[in-house]
Amino acid sequence: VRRLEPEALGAFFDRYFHLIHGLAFRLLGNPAQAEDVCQDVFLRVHRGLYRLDTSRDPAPWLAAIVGNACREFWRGKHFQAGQQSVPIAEIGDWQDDHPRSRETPESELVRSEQQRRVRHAILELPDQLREVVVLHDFQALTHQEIATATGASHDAIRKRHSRALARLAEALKERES
Amino acid sequence: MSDERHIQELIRSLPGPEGEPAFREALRAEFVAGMPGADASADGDGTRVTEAPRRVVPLRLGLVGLAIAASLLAFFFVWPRGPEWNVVAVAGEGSVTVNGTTYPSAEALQRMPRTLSPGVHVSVEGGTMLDLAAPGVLSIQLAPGSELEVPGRVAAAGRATYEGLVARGEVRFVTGPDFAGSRLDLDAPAAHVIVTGTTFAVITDADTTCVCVLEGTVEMVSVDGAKEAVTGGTRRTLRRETGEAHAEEILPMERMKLQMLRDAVLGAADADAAGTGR
Repeated sequence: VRRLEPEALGAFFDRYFHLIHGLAFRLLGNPAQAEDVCQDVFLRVHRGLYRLDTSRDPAPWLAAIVGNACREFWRGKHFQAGQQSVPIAEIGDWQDDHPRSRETPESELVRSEQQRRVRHAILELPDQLREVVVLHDFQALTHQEIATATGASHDAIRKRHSRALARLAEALKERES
Repeated sequence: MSDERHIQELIRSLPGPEGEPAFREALRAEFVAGMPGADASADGDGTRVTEAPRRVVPLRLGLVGLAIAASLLAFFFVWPRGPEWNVVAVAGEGSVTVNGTTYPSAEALQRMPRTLSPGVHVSVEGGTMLDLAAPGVLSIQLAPGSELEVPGRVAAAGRATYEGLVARGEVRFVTGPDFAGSRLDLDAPAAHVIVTGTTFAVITDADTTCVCVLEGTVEMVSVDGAKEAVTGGTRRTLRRETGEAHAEEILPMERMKLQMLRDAVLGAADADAAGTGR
């Protein structure tokens, strides 16, 4: 991959596309914006491949690049304007790859409604808290890996994660009531 | 079940996004062909994709525009980049790798390029030490296990500015008489190092970067942007993960190595000057 050999680049892409696209999607909550950021991230990755440390799992490095790209996106006028004009209910029409065949229409409806509430609550978190939740609970990065990826201390990440979960619990309770 | 655990289970039960296949395939083709500006309209087996997916084409056009603008900028401001780097010495058993091509150190001087261009990636493995020099400007010594992007001159208003990267290991630098008034910017995993004329070493791994200064002053910038001066006779260590910084006196062994390199470089420069009547 460091030598930019096409076959290796293809394998690298296949292996990490889901991580990069999934992270961007979950951080931004919008498929079109996620694709824009995803392209930007792969461009940055391509430029930085020469410094890829082959002795380490690249996931935290990639997560850091996605995090930076999303932060830049959040700061951009395009995103802020988009946030004002796109109803939150439209956010996150995520494809469900879970088997549904054994569910009744009622239970599927309940589950779908619950997932919508959770997604909505995640997207309402402040950026820093959302980032930690997405990296830890979707991408299964450890607090230490997130600290490395974001440049924050391990303790700060642990606290942010705890705060994020508390806010989510509170938001979901409010919605249920 | 605690609230936290319950929330985590809810989050983890959310389905994952798949991404549009057309978008994925086009992006993959660009990535494999070499972004940016690569032809993304060919799929994996070389046939053409009849319908380009949205957002890829505008981005590619934008990238082509950027590439043209960058070329013009490079033509007016960066060209010629320089300096050329002479391979001065290869010592010890092991190997030297230049941009992915590895040479056993015993044959390196015969087989590897004798001059290296800025931006080339060089690493030394085993017990090999490599000395590079841009005569009169800068000398570099790579200790075993080091990796460096050879510094090159970049566009900058005012003074000449060189940029390079120390990826790992121990790399020593001595600035020469023609460096006066210039600036060297070095990237390392846990710090950015700014130099305006001195003898110093950068010792780094993926998490920790240490700068040892024999004489003069070097500025060290941490990943969060904090800038500190490292003065002659001291060293400063920064940890990327925790942001911890530690300053202390330079170790005697490092002082000796830097003195030896400086004396060798300045001795050679004096000899050159005498030989050319300068």
